[in-house]
Amino acid sequence: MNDQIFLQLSGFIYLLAMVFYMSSAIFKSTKIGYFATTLSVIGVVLGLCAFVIRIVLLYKVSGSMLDSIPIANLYESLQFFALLLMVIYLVFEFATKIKVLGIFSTCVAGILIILISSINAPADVKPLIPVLQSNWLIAHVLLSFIAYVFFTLSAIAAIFYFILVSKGRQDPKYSLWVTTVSILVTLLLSLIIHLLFKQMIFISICIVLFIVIFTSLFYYGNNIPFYFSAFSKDINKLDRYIYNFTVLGFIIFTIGGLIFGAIWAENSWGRYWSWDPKETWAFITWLVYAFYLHARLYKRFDRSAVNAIAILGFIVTIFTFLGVNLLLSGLHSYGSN
Amino acid sequence: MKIKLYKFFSFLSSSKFAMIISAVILILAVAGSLIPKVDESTFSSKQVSDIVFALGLDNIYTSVIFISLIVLFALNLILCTLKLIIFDINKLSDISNINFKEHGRVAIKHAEVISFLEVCKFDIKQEGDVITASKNSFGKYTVIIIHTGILIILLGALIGYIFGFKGYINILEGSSDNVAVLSTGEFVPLGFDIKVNRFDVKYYDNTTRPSAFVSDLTITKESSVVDNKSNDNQSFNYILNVNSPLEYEGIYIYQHSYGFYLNKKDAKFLFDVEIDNISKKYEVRYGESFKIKDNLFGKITDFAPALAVSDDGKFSTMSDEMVNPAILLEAYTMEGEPVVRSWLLSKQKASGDFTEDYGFKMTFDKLYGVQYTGLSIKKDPGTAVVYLGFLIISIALILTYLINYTIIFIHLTKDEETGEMIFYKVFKQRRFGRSVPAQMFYKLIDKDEKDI
Repeated sequence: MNDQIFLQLSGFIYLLAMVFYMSSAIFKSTKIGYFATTLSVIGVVLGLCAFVIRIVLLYKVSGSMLDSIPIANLYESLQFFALLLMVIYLVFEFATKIKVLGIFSTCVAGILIILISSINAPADVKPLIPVLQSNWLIAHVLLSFIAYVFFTLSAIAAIFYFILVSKGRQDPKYSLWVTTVSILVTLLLSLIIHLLFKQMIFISICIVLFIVIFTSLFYYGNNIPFYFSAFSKDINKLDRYIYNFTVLGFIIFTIGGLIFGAIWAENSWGRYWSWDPKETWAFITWLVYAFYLHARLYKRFDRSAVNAIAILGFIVTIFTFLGVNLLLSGLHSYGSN
Repeated sequence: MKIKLYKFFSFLSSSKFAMIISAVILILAVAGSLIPKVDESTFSSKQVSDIVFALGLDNIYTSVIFISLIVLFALNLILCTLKLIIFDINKLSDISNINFKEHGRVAIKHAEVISFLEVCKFDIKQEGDVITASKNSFGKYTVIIIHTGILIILLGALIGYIFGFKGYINILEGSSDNVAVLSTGEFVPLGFDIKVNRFDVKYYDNTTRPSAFVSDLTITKESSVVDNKSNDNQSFNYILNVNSPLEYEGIYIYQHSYGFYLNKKDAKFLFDVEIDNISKKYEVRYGESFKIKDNLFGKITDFAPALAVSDDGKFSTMSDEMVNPAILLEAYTMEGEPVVRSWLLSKQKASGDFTEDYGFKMTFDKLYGVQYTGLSIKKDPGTAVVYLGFLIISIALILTYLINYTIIFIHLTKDEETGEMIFYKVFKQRRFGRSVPAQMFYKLIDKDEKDI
């Protein structure tokens, strides 16, 4: 059995769900919305299948259940992140009946899965190297990822916040959301092009793509808030979601990412903190979100400024999660292959 | 002068200063993670390299600048926390500064408000016509506790910095050592002896992927002069694995690395020879003759660290590591007539089975005395303090968002038109939780909650 087929299928279905989430917003149709949700659930089930198959494959080589949770290398962590994002998003959707966040949740999950094949993350089933053979692995990695997911959802909610509060093209908030959405769409399209034509995407093409998307969004984006008007009556509620996601992420990240990570590092390297690039960037992420939480208390920052930090925090989070492993080397380097 | 000093302290304790300091720390931390490791050869000019090294910029995180920033950050945190404590204790419930007319007002019977507060179990204080009702008062201290937790961690780090050390020892299999080398080049006597009986790298089957690094150690307490007379040496064995450090007399020993030290003189081949189900252990040097059985002698004449056999029986070396070490056995009779010349692979036991032809079976274990284990040695009395900080932060962080501290100030008053009415001011924290006291109050006065 091969877990990759299930994974790729789930990625495809997430992107399909994204189209339907979008249509449901545009046509204000609950039926299409239900269909989008159903697709997401199917995607999650397929993702779960891939996850379980991988556990079985790992168990065959390692012989230990605790050492068989597939979260130890880049392929596995991208797969796990996409799955976790969709699971937590769906829990949110079922609890609140709010579907608009689905557009970007499925988009990010899809990007993550396509990314696996674009960067050729090796999918070989490999048992754990000695330093990772610890019960802290599950506690530390699982909680860090849950925190990353909450940070992602808070940024997604923040994008909608800016879509709704921005007033016209002169408003910097307008440029902010148009830029963020353009980056996401450019990333998705470049990855799809790369996947279809198996060719390196040149930076120049990406830039052209970005400019095209940015310009068209900038000129026609004025109508977009209209599609999400369900929210606009209660912008405070949306703001509250951003806050709740961030707070949940912050608590879990502090405890699971930083504190559990430090205890594990003390146990295996003999240092609870050694300014390894991953640690440094985790610290930076933590500082940015700590800043968000404090900035909310000060009157000199208005809500938009504070929520812009949530988007900034997401960029830093992604760098901590992926950038460090792909670009910098250090003690956490096992995540890069 | 006094005013200047006051201004200085108020700046030091301000959130503005906190932001500036955090921003600078953040920038330096980013720089430190992106700049590759540098040494003297990196710089073309000696002056530049002197400046870089004098400022400690070769390693930002231990540089004077970075540590001073952390100290300033700690100072700011201490002052901010003190301010917060003063605010929570004195100013928060101080009603003299409240101008009620600026806040909400609603027409409601006073008795109704008071009975509501009692039913909802608020702590009620009444001074004249002003009621102060608070609930979940512990909630106002949790943020202070988190900040204190961060300070405790910094304190623990300081204790470790002053009283601790971190060093390394490389010990060759079969030998022992009792002095750690610090990264500064200093030597630290441990007060006990570490002997490495055996070091092994274990691999997953048929791969070059390591599954374990294991050092078999014997720790012996060096006896003092007094002890020496009584000959009271304490000694124990410990199997050291990655992720399970050994703690002895406040010093922690970690399996950190390993390496090779090739010396043909001391290296020994360890193997078993089994004849008629009776097994005997051998330790033999390179080229040294040993007796296998009557009229049969052996000699090890070659060694390969990672021999692999292909399907057509050809040998190849797959790695420099000892993934599947093998020896070339040459066996001959008393007369010197060669009978066996064969590679014995430690992982393919069948390769040493000569029971049918010559009545013996040889199992190669390892080449002993060529690998050293790299142990990292640490003493850090601050770790317990750091862990205390971790515990405090974890608990207080969760409680912060679960406990909804709320305080409601109510001015009971009357209005000619509407009769009994109140002015009110609500102070609440922005928290989770289903039962939010402020919401209950808003429900009573029939008002949608304004998010703060």
